[in-house]
Amino acid sequence: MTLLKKLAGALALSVLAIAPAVAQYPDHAINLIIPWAAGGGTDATGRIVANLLEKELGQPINVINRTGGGGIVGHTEISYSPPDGYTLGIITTELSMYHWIGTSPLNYENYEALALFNADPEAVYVRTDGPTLDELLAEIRANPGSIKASGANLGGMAHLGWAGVLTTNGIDPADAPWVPSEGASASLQLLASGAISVVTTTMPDAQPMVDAGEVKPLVVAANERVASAPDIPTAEEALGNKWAAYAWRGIAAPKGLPEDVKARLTEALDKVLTSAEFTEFMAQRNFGVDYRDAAGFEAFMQDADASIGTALQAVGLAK
Amino acid sequence: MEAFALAASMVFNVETLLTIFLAAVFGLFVGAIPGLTATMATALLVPITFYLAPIPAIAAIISCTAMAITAGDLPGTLLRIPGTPASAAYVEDSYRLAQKGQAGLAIGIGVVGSVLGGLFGFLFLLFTAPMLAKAALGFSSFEYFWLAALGLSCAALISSGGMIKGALALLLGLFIAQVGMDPLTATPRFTFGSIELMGGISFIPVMIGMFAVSEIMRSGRRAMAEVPQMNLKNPFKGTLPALWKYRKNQIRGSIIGSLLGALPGVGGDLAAWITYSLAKRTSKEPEKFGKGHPEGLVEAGATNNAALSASWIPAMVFGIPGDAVTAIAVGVLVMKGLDPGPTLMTLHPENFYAVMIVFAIANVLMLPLGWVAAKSARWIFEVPRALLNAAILLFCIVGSYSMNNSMFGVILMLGAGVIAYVLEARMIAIAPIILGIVLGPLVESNFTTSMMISDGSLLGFFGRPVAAVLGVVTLLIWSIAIFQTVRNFRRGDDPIEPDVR
Amino acid sequence: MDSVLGLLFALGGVAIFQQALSLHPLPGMNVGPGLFPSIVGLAMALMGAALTIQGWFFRDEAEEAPPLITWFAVGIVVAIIGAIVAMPYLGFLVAGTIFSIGIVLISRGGWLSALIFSPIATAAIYFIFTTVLRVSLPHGLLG
Repeated sequence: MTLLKKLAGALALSVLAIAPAVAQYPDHAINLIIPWAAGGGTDATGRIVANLLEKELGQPINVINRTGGGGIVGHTEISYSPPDGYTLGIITTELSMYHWIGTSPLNYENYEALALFNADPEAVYVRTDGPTLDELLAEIRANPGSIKASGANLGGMAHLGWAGVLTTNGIDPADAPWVPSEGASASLQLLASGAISVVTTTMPDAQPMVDAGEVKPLVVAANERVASAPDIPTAEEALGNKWAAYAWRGIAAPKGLPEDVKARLTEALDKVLTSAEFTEFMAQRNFGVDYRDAAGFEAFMQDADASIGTALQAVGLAK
Repeated sequence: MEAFALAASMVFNVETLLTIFLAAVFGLFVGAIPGLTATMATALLVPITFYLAPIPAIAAIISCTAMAITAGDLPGTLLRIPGTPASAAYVEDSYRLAQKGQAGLAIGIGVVGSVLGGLFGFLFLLFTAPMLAKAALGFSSFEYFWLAALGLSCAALISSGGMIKGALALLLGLFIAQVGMDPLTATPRFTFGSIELMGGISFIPVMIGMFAVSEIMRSGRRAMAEVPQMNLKNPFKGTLPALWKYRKNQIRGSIIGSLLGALPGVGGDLAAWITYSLAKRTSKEPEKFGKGHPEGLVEAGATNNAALSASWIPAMVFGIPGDAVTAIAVGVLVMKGLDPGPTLMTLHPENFYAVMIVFAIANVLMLPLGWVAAKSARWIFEVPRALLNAAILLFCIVGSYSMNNSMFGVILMLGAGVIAYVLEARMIAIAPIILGIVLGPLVESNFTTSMMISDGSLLGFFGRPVAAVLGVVTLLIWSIAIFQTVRNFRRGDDPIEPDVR
Repeated sequence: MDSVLGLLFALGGVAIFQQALSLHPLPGMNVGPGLFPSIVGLAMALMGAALTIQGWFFRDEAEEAPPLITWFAVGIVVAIIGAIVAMPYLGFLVAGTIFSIGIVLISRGGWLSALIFSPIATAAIYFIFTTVLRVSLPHGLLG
């Protein structure tokens, strides 16, 4: 009857949450806003962080998917919430892009960085019976416009990853146009059905379709080969020109968090993100772990902001 | 067969069976509360599954979802608040049946029809999953666009007010879906600078407002005495004869539901609308539809659950979830180390079979739980109308509020309620508006994506064989409807009830 | 009456169409976010016009319909507006109870049943949502 015990435990946990307490932070439930839909990579990783953090902090964490507008709605909500430590959020790569494209004034300075926990390089996929990388680039050079690529929204990391592969090899990104989609799974479906020829996305997102034998990776825009796919060359190895594009996910709070709350959170996150449970889960789904503490995350976002600005200007999307 | 025996032993133990039962009761409870959806029930269950072993965890999700979706028919039947977009297709019929004192029959058809449809979907899934998933993967944005357009056309053309009013309702729904950021480029549209509107208009508050609030505004003052008592001893009385009478609809609904459910992203929402419209078009008495007639109820109800079972095909076989519920379930599967995808079938077939067995159990469990629910549903009619009004409206407010934890949802609910109240007084059906809102983003993003792929040429929409067939069928349906309306108009017939056949 | 509604739809369609034209494609795209709304707006304008004409020719049957604006319907709307305004300040328990009493009374329920039923129903719904379903409702005064 282990189940009953577990249910009783869960019940006790929720009763604890209701009981009033005057103790230090946190003394009631915390909301974690995820700016992307349930079922995606951000949701999956966000929920596992929430689950582990819940045990660490001893308070329930309610995961709220605030979707819409390519993540802007959720990101905005996180930055507007009261900085009391009871609203946290997962922030993602897209945050570095909004203000360059002009869709929202948000940038990393609107948040209190807590920890970076994931970064995955973008990889280029074609159908299993599709061309090699050299054939693909030759086709784009010979017939501009005939190859359509997709992966996610316009100006997202997937788009920049693809544009970078082209520009570092002397091809105008307009010669292999980007078809924006609602996300990796929609794009992979387009690729599998033969409507488009190329998809750039992160490896965990494409893994099910690779396992199914529908698509294959050609090249990964990373600094070194990825441990879970050691056969796939980096852009530098395959084409001779260095190019890396990483999609990342981190946890943050609204700006102005009290110091003691921030200390409690970073300490708890340090335990959670270095735990065996977390590492094991990330490895299972092929998510790359890139843990950086609050200061490291802040610096990371500052760097990302500048380099993405340069990349967006190259594609002609930055304002 | 060894794998199957292993799977059976994984399911038939106290822990798993108890989990299935408790999750089903939970799903029934959440699904029956107006405004709370199967998605919400599933999401609420996720933290609890952390504490469970893999098979019980996924069993909890499956049985809870199936039950919550079926239970969504209860507030639809009794209070005219459909639980899911799919049940909005037949809510008029089930609600009118209840108003005629046949609530038991309406719920019985819903439950028994769902069980049969669900079991059919289960058999279908068991034998054809890999094949179907392969076919579903061949669908590109062109095919999806036409499929969604076909579903929307059906919804507009079957509605009772005639072609023009149906089309207007649909267009209104499509417009509502456009408010907020556009799905592909995140450009704000029709938001007038409001941050709340940037997030878009979610369909739950609108659905609650359009169906429930407007109904109370219209009929809330009537005394309860007008509703005759239902059969107390056996609430399902008359269900089996009705199902036998419309057995063709039951079978056809199950088949179509299974096929459409396998398409990621379209799933059950659309399927029920297509079969409801099919039932009306092929019926001997189409004029009774929407006024408390069991025929469409049988077919669409069967479709609903068959599609629900089949929607697990892309999720299990490719790890591509088709809707929010299976997306959450895929997350749970992964967290429990049961990687959905082709390896699930080849490396660990026992896990796949175990999930299948859970499906069968969850569907069978619906019968007794549904019966109890129907039996206790009569309490609703014994509550004085004044108190019922207050309780329903409180639920409406809380349900709309809880979508995003903001009063904005309640404001949307009220606005939608007033609009629906006016439109319905002029015979403009509400159901197509809801479907327009739900499928709007799907239609639009597939349309725009297709236009981009074909470099802005409309011919591309007929460039692939399946897309061409779907496209021609959709255009044909509209041509016939327009032709009939114009012909009736020139004859001077009342265009409100055009010749449906 | 149908003609009026048709006219409203037609005007709405034109407005949507006109708004949609002001949305431009992003750089490098041949199709923009305004395309689909402009199609919907145009179709709505056409269908609205068709309804206006149809309503004009089939005017007769409309007049015997029950009155649209009843004191009851208006009462419901006013009560909900009141709840929307008051709830953030008073909290769900207080505002919900007052709202419920109001609804029972305009639905011709008795004072006694209104006073007994409302606090119980409100508290029960509050309990279900906040503790079982973990939805946080406005606390207001009692927070």
